[in-house]
Amino acid sequence: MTARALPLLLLLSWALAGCGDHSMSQQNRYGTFSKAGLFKDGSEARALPQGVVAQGDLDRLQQISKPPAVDMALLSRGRERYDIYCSPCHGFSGQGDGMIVQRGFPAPPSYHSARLRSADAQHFFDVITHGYGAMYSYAARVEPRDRWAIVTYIRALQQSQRTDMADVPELRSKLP
Amino acid sequence: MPNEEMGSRAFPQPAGIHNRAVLLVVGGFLLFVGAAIAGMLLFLNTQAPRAFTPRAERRFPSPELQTSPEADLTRFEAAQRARLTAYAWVDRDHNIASIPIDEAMQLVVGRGYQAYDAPQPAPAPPSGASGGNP
Repeated sequence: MTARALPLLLLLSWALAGCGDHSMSQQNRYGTFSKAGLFKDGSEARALPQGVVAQGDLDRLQQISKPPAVDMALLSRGRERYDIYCSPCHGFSGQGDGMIVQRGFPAPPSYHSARLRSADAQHFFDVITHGYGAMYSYAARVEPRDRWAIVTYIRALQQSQRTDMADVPELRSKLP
Repeated sequence: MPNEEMGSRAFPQPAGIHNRAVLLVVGGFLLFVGAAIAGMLLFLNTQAPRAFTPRAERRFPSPELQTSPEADLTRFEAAQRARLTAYAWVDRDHNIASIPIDEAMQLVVGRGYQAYDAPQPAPAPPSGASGGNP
């Protein structure tokens, strides 16, 4: 029995050894920034053909151009994204005193300054997209719809930290 | 194993060792160490009397190294979040106050698309600014 099984086992081990898939490590393609004789300009980096867009680009452009309707779900999403990406520098209340600033990073301006209270929503969206001053772009980390969500949450922060009594008459009874 | 097979391995050392010499070497070594320690103490007491006093704790100016970053962050975040959960006066003379963020979010949602608008108008440009350029 053992004598019969031995050749079978050997055959099986050889067969398994041949199963290695090297397609991921040995690909028939050009390396990044390498010369490419296949194309006239000799470069492997190719621009998209005319009339072609990358998957998801049209949706992204639409999200950029049209702010979403404001509801509690959008604001909650903005609050979550703000706490993750913005609060380390801007602080949870938007005063520009986050933990990174406590450790010596330049302080960003407060959202409650007159300049930023009068800034339009597009300004905040553009700063998240392109960066501003010491702040780098968050376009790769925050999707356009989430940028609008953060903008609405910034408006909520501005409301929270500076509410006119005339807007909320019942507020007086709750104040110390 | 019989003793005759073990031969000399049965005894770890020959019987003719000079115990006095060993004791002298060990005693001399201990004496040397003791004298060295006493000499060092004497030297430090006379030449550097402050060597044995504990150093005063030195605090570096902020931001200093954190001994417990997690506890610092937790305390810091709690203080920051407290601003978003309480009612407080900001400017009593102008009737401006801060309200909890949940309430502020409800107010913003109630505005619909107007929620994107700036809460206050842009400051007017300086009077001399208009018409400055030809």
